[in-house]
Amino acid sequence: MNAPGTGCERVRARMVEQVEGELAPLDEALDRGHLEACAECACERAELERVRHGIRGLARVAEAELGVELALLQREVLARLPAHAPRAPGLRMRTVLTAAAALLLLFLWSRGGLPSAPRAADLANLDPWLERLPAWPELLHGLGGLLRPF
Amino acid sequence: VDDSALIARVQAGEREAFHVLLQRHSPALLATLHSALANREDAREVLQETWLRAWQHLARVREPARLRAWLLSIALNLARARHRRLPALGLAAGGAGEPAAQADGGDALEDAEELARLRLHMAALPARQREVVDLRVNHGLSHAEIAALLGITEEASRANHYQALRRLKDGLQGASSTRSRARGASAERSEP
Repeated sequence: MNAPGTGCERVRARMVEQVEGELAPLDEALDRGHLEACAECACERAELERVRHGIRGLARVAEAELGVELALLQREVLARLPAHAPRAPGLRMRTVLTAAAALLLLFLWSRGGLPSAPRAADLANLDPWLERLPAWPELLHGLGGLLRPF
Repeated sequence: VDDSALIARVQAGEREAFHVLLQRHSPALLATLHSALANREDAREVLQETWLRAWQHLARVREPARLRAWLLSIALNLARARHRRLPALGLAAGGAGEPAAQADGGDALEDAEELARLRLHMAALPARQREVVDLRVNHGLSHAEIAALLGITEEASRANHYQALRRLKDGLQGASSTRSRARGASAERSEP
């Protein structure tokens, strides 16, 4: 056995990682060597393993207790699923946006091109700019018609 | 068949593949939700909602091999929403009775007693430590995944895991030595 304390502190400080196989290969080899020689640390490690085993055991018991409920629940979930298969939402959204952009461009092109942005001097008289905006006059006319009764 | 293949089959319209995923992941998810919400009905409803959302958003799974972590994130978020008033999700103490009826083997009684003690010690852990231990040991999540799920740092996840295992180990060791002493005393008394 090693002299008391030789390497024990180091090994115990990272024993959880060692038990879970998370140590780097060199550290793992070092600690493994220590554990083979130190009965106290080996005992400590076995206790940790026992705890982890017990935690999994508790979970299995809980799952077994919920077994009947689970069968019912799965049936309910399947009954509530939509009829269609899940689709890729990103693809669907992209398709819609691309189609909308294409339609807008086509519409603007059919009306004589995109309106240019107004300059400061134009702000005094917005009419020429508004006239170049597609559908604005029709929209205003429509709104006026709607508001006339009031 | 691994989860990645099943996900691809579900997206191709195969509902049976989704059923396989349900059967594979529901037990552990329900146990965690049941433990977290301390209410069977709530746990059932949250699990149903989890699977319905999973169906809708299955295409968003970036790492199909880590489906369990993704499902847990949905389930725990839904559970938090249900119990918004609680600052942390805190696993509930859970029923401490009849723990290990299914224990088998020659030392079944010993296992059952030990599981009962372990359940009590688990219930006595701080909520965060219980959560981390459950996610780490029962669901096999990495500390990075746990950190993302619980909104803590990876280091905090490691520290909580370490402290929880230490406490549980010390608790069981303490109980074992008390029992050994009691057995020794009773043996001495029974000797003529």
